[in-house]
Amino acid sequence: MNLNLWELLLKLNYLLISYKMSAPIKIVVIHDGLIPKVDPLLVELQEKFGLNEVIHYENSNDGLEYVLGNLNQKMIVILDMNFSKGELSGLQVFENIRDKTALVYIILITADEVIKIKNEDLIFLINHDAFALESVTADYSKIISLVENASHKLDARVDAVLEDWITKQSDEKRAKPYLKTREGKTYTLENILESIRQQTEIGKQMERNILKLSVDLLSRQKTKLDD
Amino acid sequence: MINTFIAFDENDDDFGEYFFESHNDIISDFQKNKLINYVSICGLNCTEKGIIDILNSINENPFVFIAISHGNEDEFCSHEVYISATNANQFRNSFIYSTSCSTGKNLAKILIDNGSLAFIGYNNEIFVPLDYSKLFYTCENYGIKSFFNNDETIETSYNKLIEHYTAQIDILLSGSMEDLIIASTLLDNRDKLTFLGNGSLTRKFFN
Repeated sequence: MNLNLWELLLKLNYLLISYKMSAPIKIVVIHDGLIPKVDPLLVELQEKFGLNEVIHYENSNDGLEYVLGNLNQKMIVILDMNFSKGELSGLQVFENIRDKTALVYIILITADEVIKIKNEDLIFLINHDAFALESVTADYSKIISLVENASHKLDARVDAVLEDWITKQSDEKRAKPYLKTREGKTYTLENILESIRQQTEIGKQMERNILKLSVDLLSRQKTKLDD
Repeated sequence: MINTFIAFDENDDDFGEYFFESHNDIISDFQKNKLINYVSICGLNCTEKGIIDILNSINENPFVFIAISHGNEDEFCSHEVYISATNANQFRNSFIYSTSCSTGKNLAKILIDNGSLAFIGYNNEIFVPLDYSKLFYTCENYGIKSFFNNDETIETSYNKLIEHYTAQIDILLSGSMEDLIIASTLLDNRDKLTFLGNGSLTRKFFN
């Protein structure tokens, strides 16, 4: 294998492993129908992901506050659709999180049949990358399996790796102009971080560039092998 | 002697210093090459009128024009537009080497249609990480330096430019995560390179 390709693969692997190890994924459960600490879903999640990594909020406003206050943390949110009056609905919490980041996976669970969810709400959820929508049942294995799947995907996302790298830089470096386009636009790492989370152009561009780099090296290696 | 013009906009608020250093990188190479008769056109003279005045002295002889400034799909710009479809016919018999954004998209074809012989440049917006300026402008300038320093065709210089980008990308791969990001940005710029026109010309044609 070509040394550069080998080096890149090792480096990407190392980065993904160090990203995985850098901070465990927090599972944030925002649900008012679960018995705190002892509900089977919470217990199963704690067994799978660690006692301290599962955080339960019964109040949706509090849950949202935690998520928005910890965007530097890798998170998967399990979100109930329905809350008491005076609290934000599941959909509103979803909308508020998506306003800030696309990098948090959100699994919505509902006690209602899916058919009872308004058409426009379903369209909104699909268009804004709801990870999954699941009915509440006594069998929580489906939800656990969805969380495991989300956890795997989160570890393999290039944008999440970039986010992780940027969040580890000093405040000073993050605030300094970092990248300029020859058309005169300037981006700090902070701007790039925001763009990665909002999935706007410069963030997507950087993600594409990393993927292009991998493909370029693989295709160059293939050409050498074909020769 | 090869008549060569280097337009560079050292007055630009964002990239003035970058353009200035890029220009110096090129002329430090040109000063060692006795075949080249170069004229630097600084930012204040990078105007449509300034360019027309300077190019009138050429009398249709082949020349090389290097642009180190901002650009877009349709024009090269300093504090004003200095090359566009309006004055494209002034570039008959020229080889244009552009380090500007996007000029390879529409303007390059207009220049070739108006009699330019060849064009090397970028067909989209290019990026520069500020802490790696030197690496980026030396990559951008590699092709034109190679063209003047060797008896090779424009097409060969273009291919060597791409190879140089690739070699620099490979060097970065042994560095940090940040180097990997820089390598991916360099690769993105490399892939925006474009070439139009007659690739078989060598420096002898312009001499």
